[in-house]
Amino acid sequence: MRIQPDGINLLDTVASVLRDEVLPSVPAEQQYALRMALNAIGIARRQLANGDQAEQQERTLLADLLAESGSHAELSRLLAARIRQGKVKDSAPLRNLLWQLTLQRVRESAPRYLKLEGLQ
Amino acid sequence: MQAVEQNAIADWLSAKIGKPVQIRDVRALSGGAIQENWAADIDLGDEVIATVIRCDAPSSVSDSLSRQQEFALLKAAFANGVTVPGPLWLGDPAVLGRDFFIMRRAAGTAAGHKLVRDLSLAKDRPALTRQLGRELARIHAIKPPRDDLGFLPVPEAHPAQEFINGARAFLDEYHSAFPALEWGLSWLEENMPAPEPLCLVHRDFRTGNYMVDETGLTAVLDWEFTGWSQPLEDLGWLCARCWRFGQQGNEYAVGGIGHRDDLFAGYAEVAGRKPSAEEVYYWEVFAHLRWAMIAIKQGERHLSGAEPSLELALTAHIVPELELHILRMTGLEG
Repeated sequence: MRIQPDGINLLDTVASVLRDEVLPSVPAEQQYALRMALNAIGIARRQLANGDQAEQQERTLLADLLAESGSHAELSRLLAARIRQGKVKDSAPLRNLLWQLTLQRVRESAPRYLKLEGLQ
Repeated sequence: MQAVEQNAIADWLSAKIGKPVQIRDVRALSGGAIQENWAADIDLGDEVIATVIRCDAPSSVSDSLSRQQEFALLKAAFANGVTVPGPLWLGDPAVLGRDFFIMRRAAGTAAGHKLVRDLSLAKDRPALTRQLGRELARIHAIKPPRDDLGFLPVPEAHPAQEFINGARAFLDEYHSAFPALEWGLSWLEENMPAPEPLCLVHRDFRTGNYMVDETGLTAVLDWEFTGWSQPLEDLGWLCARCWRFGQQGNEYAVGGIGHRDDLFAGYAEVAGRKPSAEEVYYWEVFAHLRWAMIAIKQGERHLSGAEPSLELALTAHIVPELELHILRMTGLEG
């Protein structure tokens, strides 16, 4: 078994140190780089916390609705192809799936967008 | 810039204009991945000119214009009354071993996050917004064919269709699929407006790419993506959510500083035609798709190992929120 604290805990702790102790004393020119670093840590942390579970669920849904088998990447490409062929517009379940897949990406990459737009 | 390069420019310019030239106070300005910008004071003896020397960076992006072409665009825009830094001299590439030109240095700042919050800059925001509209209309008054701009390719199809075709071809070869962008591209194809006559379109006219000081707009910058296209493309780009620097609401829809009504009114003052919000909406959707495609390509520069960079890596992570916004703009919301 891995020793605790785990990766998520360490990333949280690093982010706190950078935000509370380092950022206030960093010259203005370097603050942008530090804010980028904090943003990247946040994305990595959310991906780590989610693990592969969400992708597994998405893969199952994609396979069911597209009636095909394959990896998440293969099924995503198939969904993209069906959209280009105009076959998704009239399918409420596929439209909903597209929304959910995209929402999940935003939850990991840019949750701030959901907060600003009142989508949470 | 190294002293040897400064001296080389001074010697070249001196020979070109036939009098002694001194270059002083050279300092780096923020440029970007595509070019380097240097502030320099050029002393001609009877006059000292505040200038910017703009050079190709060692790693240039292939689908942007060369410095020589950008200089031709600056001259064309300047002649048409667009507020641009006055173009001075086109460099001889032999001097630095890469393309460069020299232009006048505009006062103020281009920093978007500063402009949207610091109301001491361009205090009268409705006036600034109307002026942005007038500037765009003056750019759009430049029409093909033009011998001096012959390097700009003329689109064979509707410019929006050319973008859609290019995006699809790229996505077909790319390692990851983007179903939400496919949705957006289909929407663009189905809702494409009838083509208008082509005109010069800046294609990166947004907050962050124009300079302002206390008095207002001082310069429209960054002409490296300019081409022949549809006029409303520029208005959609400027109104897109991605360039509002965190400002929310309709009163900040234009680049985080103003209301669309003022932009369109300013545009109408020069163009004699007032665009409607509905017409521009198509090009706002287009803007989000175009920016998403650029963001994927920027992220790939990091991902492929060609140019490891945290900023480029994070640019790829902007794509999901663009995708979700595109879905919402095109009537797909869960």
